[in-house]
Amino acid sequence: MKKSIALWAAIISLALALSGCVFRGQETRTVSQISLPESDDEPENMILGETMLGNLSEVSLYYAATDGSSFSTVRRSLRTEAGESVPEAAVRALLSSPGPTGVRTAGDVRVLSFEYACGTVTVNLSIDARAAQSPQELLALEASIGNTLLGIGGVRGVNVLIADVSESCCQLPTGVQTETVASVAAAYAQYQAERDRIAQSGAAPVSRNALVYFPTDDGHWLVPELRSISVTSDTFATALIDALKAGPKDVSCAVPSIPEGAELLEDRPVIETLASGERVLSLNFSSTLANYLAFSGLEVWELAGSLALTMTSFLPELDAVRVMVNNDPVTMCALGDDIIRFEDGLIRRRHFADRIGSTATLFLIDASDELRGIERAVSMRSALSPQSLLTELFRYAGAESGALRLPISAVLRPEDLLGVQTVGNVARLNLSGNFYRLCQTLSPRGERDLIYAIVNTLCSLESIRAVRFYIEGRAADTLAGTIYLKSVIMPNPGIVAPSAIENGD
Amino acid sequence: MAIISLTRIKAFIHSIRWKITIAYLLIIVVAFGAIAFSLIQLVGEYLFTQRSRDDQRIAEGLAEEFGGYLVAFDAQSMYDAALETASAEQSRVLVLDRLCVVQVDTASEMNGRRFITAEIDNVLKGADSDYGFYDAGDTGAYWLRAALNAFSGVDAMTGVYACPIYSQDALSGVLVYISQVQEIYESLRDIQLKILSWMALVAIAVLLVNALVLRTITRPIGELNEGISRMSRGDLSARVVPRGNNEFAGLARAFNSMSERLEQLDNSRSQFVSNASHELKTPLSTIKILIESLMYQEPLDPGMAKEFLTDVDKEIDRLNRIVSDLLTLVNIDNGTKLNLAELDIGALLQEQVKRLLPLARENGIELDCAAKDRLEVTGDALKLQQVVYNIIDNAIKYTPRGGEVHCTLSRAARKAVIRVSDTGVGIPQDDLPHIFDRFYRVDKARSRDTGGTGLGLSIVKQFVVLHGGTIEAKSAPGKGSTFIIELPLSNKKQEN
Repeated sequence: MKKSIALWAAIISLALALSGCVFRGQETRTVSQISLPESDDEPENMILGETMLGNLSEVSLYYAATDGSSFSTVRRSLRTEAGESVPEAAVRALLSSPGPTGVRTAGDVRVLSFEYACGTVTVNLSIDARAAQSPQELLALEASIGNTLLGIGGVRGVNVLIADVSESCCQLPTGVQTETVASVAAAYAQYQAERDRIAQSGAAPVSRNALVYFPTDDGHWLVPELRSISVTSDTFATALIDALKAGPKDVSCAVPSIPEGAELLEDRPVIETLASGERVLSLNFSSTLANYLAFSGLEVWELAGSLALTMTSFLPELDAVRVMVNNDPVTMCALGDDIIRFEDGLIRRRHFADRIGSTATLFLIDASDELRGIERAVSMRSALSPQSLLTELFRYAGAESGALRLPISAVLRPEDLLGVQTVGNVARLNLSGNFYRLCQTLSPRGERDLIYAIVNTLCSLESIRAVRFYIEGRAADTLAGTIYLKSVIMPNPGIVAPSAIENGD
Repeated sequence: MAIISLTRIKAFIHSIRWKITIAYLLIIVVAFGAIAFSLIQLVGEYLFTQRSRDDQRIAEGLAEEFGGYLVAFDAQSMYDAALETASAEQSRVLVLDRLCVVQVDTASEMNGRRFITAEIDNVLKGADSDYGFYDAGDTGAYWLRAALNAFSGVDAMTGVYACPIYSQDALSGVLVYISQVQEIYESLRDIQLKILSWMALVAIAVLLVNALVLRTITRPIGELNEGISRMSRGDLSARVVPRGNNEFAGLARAFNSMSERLEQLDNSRSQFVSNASHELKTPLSTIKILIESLMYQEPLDPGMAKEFLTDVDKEIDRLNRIVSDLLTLVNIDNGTKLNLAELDIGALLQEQVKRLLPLARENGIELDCAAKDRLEVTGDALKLQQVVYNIIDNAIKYTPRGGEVHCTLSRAARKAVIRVSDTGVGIPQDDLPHIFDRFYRVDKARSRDTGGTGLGLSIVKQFVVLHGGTIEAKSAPGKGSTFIIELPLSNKKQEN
């Protein structure tokens, strides 16, 4: 009987198995059965401070041919120094190296100052650039610099000044170069045609790109924003005023310097030439602007700086701006603890050169536990410095008023960041044991968010694509057991909340 | 109660019905199993192969594109390209570096974590590519390889395709392309379920038909079994109802015929014993009365004593005849042997008429015989003599004085026909079918008076039947009777 039952059961089981009607079980092969490759990469020396190793960038240098018909490019590997951006190194290389035969050389032209902020570059050349150069040669020099810099990632516009003064070509502002110039001769011919056209009454305006400087919401910086404007022969200044009145559009941490919607100018802007030969733009604002300043909390230096930088960056051969509010000339302003006095009411570009800032993107956790990018105004140097950026990240996350935070309970101190070493486009980040200890209790989600807050923030820099973590100079497996730290970590754009990058405040 | 149920269950398990049912079920399951296995294998192999080829094409295209990106740590470009593909294909793309750290994940869940599967391991060890299927389940983990023909338990069947990412001919990472193949798996499972459903439906249909067929087979067997059981218990009245016109109906009819015959035999036996007892007891009682009368007769009258003893003698003779007839019947029943010889049946008839002629005269009855033809039969002379004698003797006994008894012999086809007709009292129609039964008497008092035992006609019939012949009687009350005996002629050529 039992044998019979067993036989039936066996036959039916076999039939069911053949039909695939039974769960055959699953082949299990756990990860533990497969050996994972291990990294033995350890830094030779303790990483302290901010250092760079072997930072070579491939850049194409543009040299204009002597006849101006074309450009010759030379591919160069440029080594950037600490605190130096690739565009700056590129301009240095372009001006210092002779280039191939048959091209124009810059001669003794030097770089007086270099602004790299918000994706725009302003190169301030020495007066040598203007000496003994024809308009075409000058245009060729500017186009060489512009073409070279526009070939570098992250650069969207290039403005060239000579001795703090914007140059003209055929009596028209050259503005900010945003596209590569293929032929100097063709570009010059276009300037000539535009000059002839604009001189006629009722002619259509010409388009130019200009840098419009706005104060930032933290009251520390003036940041440039690239703007396309339309100008006629006598509306250069008013077009810029209108752009300022329109307020910032791309930089979220910037605020308007003059209000929109009201007629502010009492008189038509006038450029006069002083006895010294300097060209000065006079702007006479109504009392409305004074009221706006009082209402918005904007300081006078921000208004003055915004106007001076914007006007001198675009208006041809403009040395200074004279600002009057309700017929009261602005002759001084407070900038922190300092007082800036404007001699003869002349507000110059150099008064605010060290107030030109840039923006950096910090990644932090918002109230809904999402990683969110915020745009913060920082100095141009900080915008290029991984260490400064992380310090700003820690500082901002630790601020009590901040709505954004890092997923770590304790406040991270700048001392927890022992050093950052940039090797190629990898930032080797050396963090303290205290940092490691604080991270031990993080949840997997918290660990992930912390790591990627740091990585995404650092990788918002043009020069950094990945981050390698070290704890007290040694490679650690993980911070809290989830993210493997013995390999480089690339940014994770997918976990950033989809909304646009926010203003930090 | 439980014991009864268990007994019934055991009886059912041992029944033909159960075994045939199981056999049918087994045939269905094996047949459908083989079909399902072949179908699932073929369809599954085709669908999964197609999917793996599609995945391979996409993954290898991405891997080629990502070679430069990975070495330049361009996560954004890889993410954008991977996301575009993943969105279009509803799949998931992972980019792993050589340490198996996920650098790009279109789902942005595994970034920074190490991820390894057998396929990735194989690629890191030099394989061109590898493909595997996993049950990602609710957790999305890819550590549980799934059997493609698993019938259940797979929540998220996922295909994992791994291929190397080369940068300047050096392995720089692994691209993992994860596609959902649950819909393929569900399709296969649907096919399996449909086959199972069909199997269940067919099984139910077959079982129903089987039950009906088995009922037509086993019900007559059961009824027959019940009838036999009743018969074995002594109930010879058991009958079964023949249903239809099949073998079982024939068997039922045969059984009914057999049981009817047995019942008749049993009734005959009982009747016979009863009759025999009665027939034997009657002379014995008479003898006992006569002897007791003699014993208590004081003084004993010699004349009366002689008379009584004469009566006792007669009763003893009667007893003797009854016993002789009974022995004859017993011999017949036991298969008595015939001393066969070629007989002139006409001569035999005339001889017996001649023997009984004095008795006929004594009773005032005219007896004649007409046997013109010479007819020969093969038979036992003594027994056929007894047949003819008994019939003519009966005719004489039941024909009143002045009556006639005619005997004729004729030929009808291959038979010799003896007719014995009388002008006697005749036989009622109700008694006519029973006159050949043992101890059956039409007029019981008269029969005894004539010295009959009630066995004569029965013996006659048995002898005739033993010779392959027939006997029948035709009669009407008051109009006499005719007994017709037909005996087969011998094979020897008969003379006219």
